[in-house]
Formats: sequence, C-alpha cells, structure tokens
Amino acid sequence: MNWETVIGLEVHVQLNTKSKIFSGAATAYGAEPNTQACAIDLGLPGVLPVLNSEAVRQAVKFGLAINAKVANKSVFDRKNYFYPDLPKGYQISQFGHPIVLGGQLQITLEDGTRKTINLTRVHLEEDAGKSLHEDFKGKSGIDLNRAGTPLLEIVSEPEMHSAAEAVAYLKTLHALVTYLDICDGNMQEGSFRCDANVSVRPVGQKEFGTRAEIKNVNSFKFVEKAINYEVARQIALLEDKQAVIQETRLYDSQKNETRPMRSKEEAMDYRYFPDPDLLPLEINDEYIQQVRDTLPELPNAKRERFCKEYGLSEYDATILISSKAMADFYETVVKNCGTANAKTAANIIIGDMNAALNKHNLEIQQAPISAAQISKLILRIADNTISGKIAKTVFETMWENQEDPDTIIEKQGLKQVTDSSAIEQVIKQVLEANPKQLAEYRAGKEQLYGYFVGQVMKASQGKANPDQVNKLLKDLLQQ
Amino acid sequence: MYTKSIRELGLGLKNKEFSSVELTKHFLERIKKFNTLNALITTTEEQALKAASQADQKIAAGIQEDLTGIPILHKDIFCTNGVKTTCGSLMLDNFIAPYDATVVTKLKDAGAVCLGKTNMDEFAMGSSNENSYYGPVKNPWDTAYVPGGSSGGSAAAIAARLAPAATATDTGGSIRQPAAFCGITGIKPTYGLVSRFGMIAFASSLDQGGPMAANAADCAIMLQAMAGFDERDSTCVNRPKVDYVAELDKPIKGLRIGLPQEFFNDKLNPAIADLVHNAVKELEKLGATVKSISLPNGHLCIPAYYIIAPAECSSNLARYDGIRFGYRCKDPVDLEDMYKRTRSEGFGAEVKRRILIGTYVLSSGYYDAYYVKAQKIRTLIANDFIKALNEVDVIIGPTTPEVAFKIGAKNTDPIAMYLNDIYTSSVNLAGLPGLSLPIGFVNNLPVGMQIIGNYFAEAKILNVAHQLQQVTDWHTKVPAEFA
Amino acid sequence: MSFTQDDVNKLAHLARIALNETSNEEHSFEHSIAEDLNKILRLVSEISEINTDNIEPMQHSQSYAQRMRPDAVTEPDVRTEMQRLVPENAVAAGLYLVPVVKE
Repeated sequence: MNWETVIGLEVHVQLNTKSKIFSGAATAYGAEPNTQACAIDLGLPGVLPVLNSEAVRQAVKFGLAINAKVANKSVFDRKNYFYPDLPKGYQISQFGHPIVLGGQLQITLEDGTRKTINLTRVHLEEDAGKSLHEDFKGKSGIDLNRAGTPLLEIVSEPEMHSAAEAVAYLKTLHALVTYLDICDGNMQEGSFRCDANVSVRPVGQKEFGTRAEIKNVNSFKFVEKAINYEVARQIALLEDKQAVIQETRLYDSQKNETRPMRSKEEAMDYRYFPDPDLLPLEINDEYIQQVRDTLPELPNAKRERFCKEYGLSEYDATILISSKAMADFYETVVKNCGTANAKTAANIIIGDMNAALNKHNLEIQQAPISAAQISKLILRIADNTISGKIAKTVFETMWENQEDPDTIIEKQGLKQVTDSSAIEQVIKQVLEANPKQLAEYRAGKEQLYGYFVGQVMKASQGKANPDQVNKLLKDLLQQ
Repeated sequence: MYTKSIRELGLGLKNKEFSSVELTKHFLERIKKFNTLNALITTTEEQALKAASQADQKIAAGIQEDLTGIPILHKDIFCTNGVKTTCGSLMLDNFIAPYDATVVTKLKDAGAVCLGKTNMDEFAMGSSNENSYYGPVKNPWDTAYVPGGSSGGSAAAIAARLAPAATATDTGGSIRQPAAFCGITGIKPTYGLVSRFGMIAFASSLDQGGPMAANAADCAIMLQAMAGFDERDSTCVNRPKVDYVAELDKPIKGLRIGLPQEFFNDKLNPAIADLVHNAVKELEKLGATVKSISLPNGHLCIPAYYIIAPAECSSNLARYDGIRFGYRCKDPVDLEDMYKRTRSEGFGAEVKRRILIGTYVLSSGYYDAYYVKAQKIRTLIANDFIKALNEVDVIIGPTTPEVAFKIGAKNTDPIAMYLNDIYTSSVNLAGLPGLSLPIGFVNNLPVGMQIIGNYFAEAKILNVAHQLQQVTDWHTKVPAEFA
Repeated sequence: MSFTQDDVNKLAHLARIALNETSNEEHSFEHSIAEDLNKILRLVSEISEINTDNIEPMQHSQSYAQRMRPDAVTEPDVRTEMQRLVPENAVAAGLYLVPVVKE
C-alpha cells in the first residue's frame, strides 16, 4: 500500500525579553540554578502575575509578520497539572482565545518548489523550569530559572507531508523569528523547540491516521531523523495490521528511535479555565499599527529584493536570506565591493564561506573572516589581481591565518600574470611541448582546445589571466 | 482605653494622655488575658513594642496620622515579612514569608502597630472558624458559640476589644458574617479596591481584603489606609482616592434604600427581620426613603458560588506541593506519594472537599455544565444588583439568616454551613461593596445588618452606617466577660 | 450524576490528594467524602435548570483590561532567602530536591 505522511508542528519560541512574562526576574541563559527565580516564579503564597508589555509586543509583531489576525481581545488561561518544574501547579497559557489566529508561512523546498503552510494559532505562555535527572542523593534537582520565561507557541495546520517539508518549515520559521528579533534562535539552549505530530494514512484517504506527538526535538537534523523514524515505525505497524497508539514519544538521538514517554502515560485532564488573577488582554488597532510600523524587512521581501537589486538567482537569494546574519553579512560585503560584484560576492559566501562554516560548525557571526576582508578579496578578483580560482586559495589562507588578502597574495606570489608577452611565452612553450596534440587540433580536433588551456594554466601555476589566455591561445593556434 | 475609638485613641496619643507603647502594652495584656478565645495564632509582642516606640517618636516630633501608634491585628492570610503566616493550615505552619502583603505595607506606612495574626478558617474556607488547624475561635458573646468565619479570629478579637481594628478578607461573606455574629462592624470593599498582593488566595476573582472594627468610623480610617492602586495586582483598580472619613458626617436625607423582598423570606429568623426593620426605621427618621426591590436571581448565589470558589481554589492550592515551602510529608516513597501525602496531611477536610469539587467542575466534560454555567449565573446576579442600584442608593438586608450557632452544631454537614452565605456571597459574585454592622440581639447573640452599595460606593455605605451608629449604640456594646 | 467511590478516587488522583482507604472512622474525611461531594453536587446542580441563553459568562466583576508593566529586571537574586523556606532543607547545589522525576 502507498502511505501518505501528515505532519503538524508545534514550535515553542522563547521570546528575548529582559524579564519574565509575569515577573521582574531576569531571563538570561546559563545563570546559577534558581538565582533568577523570584517569589512569583516560585509560586509562593499570595504573589500575583503582572504582564510584561514586551512579550505582548513581540507576539503581535510575529502575528503581523505571518499575516495573521491579531486578536483585539485575548485571554490567559490556567493549564492545571502537577509536575515539579511547574511551581504553581498550573501553567499560565492561552487556550480559548489566543493572541494570534491563522496566518501563513511560505516555505521553499530543496528543489526550489514553494509551498504555503497555514498556521492554526499562536499564543503566549510561560515556560516551566527544568528537572535535572542527574543523581542528587537519589533525587532529582529542580532549577526554576527558566520558569516564567515568555514563550510563543506556534501551531501549524497538519499540512506537511514529509520530513523535508517539516524541516523547511522550521528553518523558515527560525529565520523569521530571528529576523523579527523576538528570539535568539539558539536551539542548543532551547530557545527554539519543536514538537511534531506525525501520522500516516493510505494515499487518498481523507481521515487522518492516529498521531503520535514527538516531544522536544531540538535540531533540524534530529527533526528530520525523528520524523523519518516515526513514519517508518507507523507504516510498519499498520502493514502488520497493528494499531498506532495516540501517545507522546521522545526522540533518542543516540539510538535514533522514538519511544513512549513514561510520565505522559496517564491521560491528562488540564482543566483549563481563565486565570482569575489576570484580566482580558485588549489590543487596539492603533497599537497594532504602531507595531506594524516597526516591522523589519522580512525574508520573502528580502529574497525578492536580492534577486532584483543584485541580479541573483532565486536559489542563491534563498540561501543568502536563510538567516538575517547571513543576509546582513552579504549586504555589507556588497556595500563595500559594489553592486557590480554582487554575483561574485554571492558565489563566495554561498560557496567558500558556507563550506568553511559547515566544516567548522560555526554560525556566520562566529566566522574568523570579516565582511570587509571578503570585499577586499572580491575587489582583487574584479581588478584582475587574482583569478577566481586563486581566490579560493586566498580564502582558505584568510580563514586559517586571519590575514589580509593583499598580504597573502603578496607573500605567496599569487598575483595574476596579465603581461601579454609573458603569457604568450608560456603558451608558446606549451605548444612546442605538445606537437602531437597541436597537429591533431589543427587537423580539426577542436575539443583539444580545453586541453591547451589547462596546460597553460598549469604551467603558469594558475596565475595567468584566463581571459588573456583565451585570446592569445586562439590567436597562436590559428597561426 | 480598650473601649475608645481610633479617633479617640489618636487624640489621647496627641494629648500625651498615654503613649503608643502604653497603648500597645494594654492591648497585648488583654490578648494574653483572653487567650482562651483562641483569636490569635501568633502574637508579635517584640515587633509591636518596637513599632509603638517608633510611633511615639513620630508623635513627639508632631508627625501623626489617623493610625499612627494605633494597635491593629492582621488576619493570618496576609503575608508578613519575617513573621509566620499560616492561613490557618498545617500546610503553612512553618511558613515565614520573605515579603509583606501590600495591605500590611500600607498599614505599616500609615503608622499602625501590628500586635499579631488572627486565627481563621483554613485558607479562608469556612463560616464558623472551626476549620482552623489551630483550633476553633470562640465567640466572646458566648464562648460555646462560633464567631463565624472565615475571619472569626479578627471578629472575636475586635468584639472582645483585644485591638481597636483588624484586617480581614471576604470571599463569600468572610468579613460580614463573623462581624454580624460578633456584634462588630466590617466592610468588604468593591473587588479591586484593596490590593490582593501578599494576601493568600482562596478564590481570586472573589477575594477582597477589608477592615473590621467596633464601628463604621474606625472602618473608614482603616479602609483609607488599606485601599489604593497596587501595580503588583493586575486586578487592582487605578482610580482617584476617596476620603472615606470626610464623607462620614454627611447627612443622609434623601437616601434611597432598597429592601430586597427575596432576603426577607421564610429562611430568615423573624426576630432578625424585625431588628432590620427597626434599624431601617431609624434611617427613615434621618430622612431616608425606603422601597421594596427585587433580586430575582439572588437565590442562585449559593450554587454559583460553590462552583466558582472551589474551582478557583482547586487551582490556587495546587502550589502547595511540599517542594519549595510549607509542609512536606515524611519519607515519601516516590514523587506521587510526596504530592499526595503532603497534600492530604497538610490540608484539612473542608479544604480537600473544596479542592475535589473544584477539580470536578473544571474537568473535561463538566466544565461547560458547571463552571461556564455558573459564570453566566454570575452575570444574572450582577445584573439584578446593577438594575436595583439604578433605583436606590443602597440595598439593606440581614447579613445572615440566623445568629451564631453552637460550636460543633454544623461542622459535620457542609451544606448547612454553606447556607450561612446566602445573603453575602451574591455581593462577592457581583463584586460590590457590602458592610455589616450590629443592630441588636436575638437570644443574647448579636445580629448584623448588611448595607450593599454600588461599585466603589464605600464612602456612601460607611456614611449610612456611621449615621445609624450616631443614633444607636449597638456598636458600643462589649460582652460582659471582656468589659 | 452522582459520585461513586471510583469517581472520587479518580478526582483525588487528579488533585493529588491521598485517600487513606484504611481510615474509615465515622468522622473521618474518607468515610463521608463521596456522600459529601454528592450533597454539594446536588446543591450546585440547581443552576442547570436556569435558562442562560445569550448570557455572557462573567469572569470578573469589572470590565477593565489587563495592565502591562515595562520589560525591566526588577527582581534581584533571592535564592538564599527562598531556599530557607524549603521543608527539610531539601536543596543541593542550589537545586530543589524531589523524589526522582520520570522523563
């Protein structure tokens, strides 16, 4: 039987406010345990929540960026359950009336196809603390620093049909929240967390299959692996005439498998009801307009502009806008080396730069080479000091030694040969050394042209200007 | 000294008839002497004397406000920095809050001297003060009787004149009912007038702090200090301050009084009805007019209240898990055992009953039928009041259908206990202010009359109560044993 | 609807309250809890007969909107004060200790 995969994603985005959503405690990552948990975060008797305006502003900003409806009135509810990292015994969330409804995200797949994914809703809530399972005298340790950190929960419709689509969606969303500067996007630190609802159904069937929820998969790579594993597991079950159980599963990246979460075995009854400590959140159109006026250029608009302004292909532009830092880096380079070199700049950043970043597992902000240095390198290509090929060697040295491109070119004697008589000399030597090939060429075997180019470049150690080589070689061959 | 009003005590301090330290010692001695009432859980003698001495210095320097140097008591539901706050529960028997409730701060700032913390029904759930982990409070008018609840400790303390004034809270009648049972005056302000920060939550959308004192004028002075905006409570209303004291002496000529016909039904002790009518006649003599009004949905307040309050309580009390503060059971075998035994050992029976019923009405499949339905009934009840208060200035009726009952008489039947709130909880559901003041005795036990006003009309109802107290003397009566 | 002992047990689990099954003394909480809950349920069920079509539920008695505070860190590190409150001093390395939490 042919099976269709159905995926819906719930993403928890930690907003980058200074203080918590309902208290004035700090939200900085990595503090000593419980040093950022005040009486309100700890749920002490008698304390009360007061809403952080910045969390609301960021939620509205996100809503506008995905063309969603920002609710003029939304309500905070309590989600009741007992867990040691949930100090009040309830999480303040939004259930019946979320702050943002609907919206879309346009994703681009590897092969360039575009797809629009609809969002169901987006709501504000507080994060829980962390249970540390390392052994403390046979007990678990609870750190409540994270309790009360503002979260935006972003829920998609079940409209993705492969792990690749899910990853494309997540990457697009990740880019968006960092563009909007509402999240630092740090997945290792848990600033961007994903739960995936996965089910399969026979192709053509309308009803959804029974889904499993895979919790907290915290890298794009693992999302892909976890979904693929889960899809295979479900198909195997169904083909074996067994039922998929609706349950919460945890992805184990070391074993590359999902397994049921023990703590979620019992059916939860969260007993949502409006939090009586908080009043309805009212957002008027004037406020919404004010936030709209602060929206930065968003990824899709930036891609279109890159294509138009810099003459880039859509493929190149898509890679460059995939993170705001990358796009900003690119634009700084182009600013320095001129729009005329925009295409070269794109090639170097997408090619050499990305390869080096991937190899060293770095983000562009962490690269040892600055945008200014890359611009200089490009200018040396443009003014024919070096060829594009030599530029790759220079780039590698720049990455390793953090040296200026001019210094490297000088030191290693990589300067391109543009002296026509010198090039002519080299060509003549090559032709003399290859009489057989020369005869064949002149007899009509024109495909040997490339062979001569290669030999000339080799003889000049790559330093001969390729345009000049072409011109002179053609002349001499015809003599 | 103990029979004097706050105003009179202030004059005495000003004229150096006595110092705040002397005044404080006087009341501390009474607290000791009458400790069999069990009105206090904690006495803070040392801190009180220190605060009194500071007040004396201020007075000597000519800085004196209405409450400077005046001894008061706090219901043990208000968090007090460095002093145990138990909420009447084993769960918090060891709890010393590292912060003051806003009400505590405000009264401190006003110069009041806190003598201690008063007994109460556990987590403010009860109408007799028999639900306290620290034992029942006795009614000073007859110690075989309950003082009412949940602010029974504050009410009994004021009735026995252990302090001139006390703080209290009211979720379904917990200020007004014990005030009525103990023959004193107490006001539950409009929801949102007094900050709830640091006031341990029972039912957040209904809880409201307020003062208790012998008379309305003293309540006005207390409320003046307690009321006001607090940025730490999202439900606390930011509106201009009202001078409750200045309004007390306004004549009430032309006051329009509404008597809800539904309050004077067969559930009401006829002797209480007679006393209410007598008091209303006194107000008529002062120029008030009276008309009958109807609150047709009023009788639904008990079911609505006993859905909404337990629902909120079941969630509010989930934080008592033995992890970060409070009681923790001995040697839990696992996490679930720790939760369950901590909570079943730390909470008393009534609290557990309400948690269970509250858990039920919020649970999947029952939420709409109970909780949402009750919130709709709440709208109906509030609308009745709003409509009536378009036609009259205040609504007057009995505070309770009966006078105080004997200790042990109702504590095995939760429903009989709940019916104590029949005239009071509708006011909480609507969020309106209500005051109870003494208007006589039935079977030698005090009777209270309730005055309900429009939103934020505290000045008006205090004014009406004060005017009545100018022509009657029920508020001056002190039980013989404590005189 | 009326509560059976099984219903009560489920509720008690949801609310994390232990019902001591051996304690069945006449005035014990466990002895009368099912009956008590049924009495309360009968009391509150009165509202089910009331017509509330087109009536808005009332969450708060006032129609104010939620106030917001500026995004500023106003709370200092209070770990030491807070952890003095922990029962049986169940803290280690700044963490609150609990019986092992299942993942």
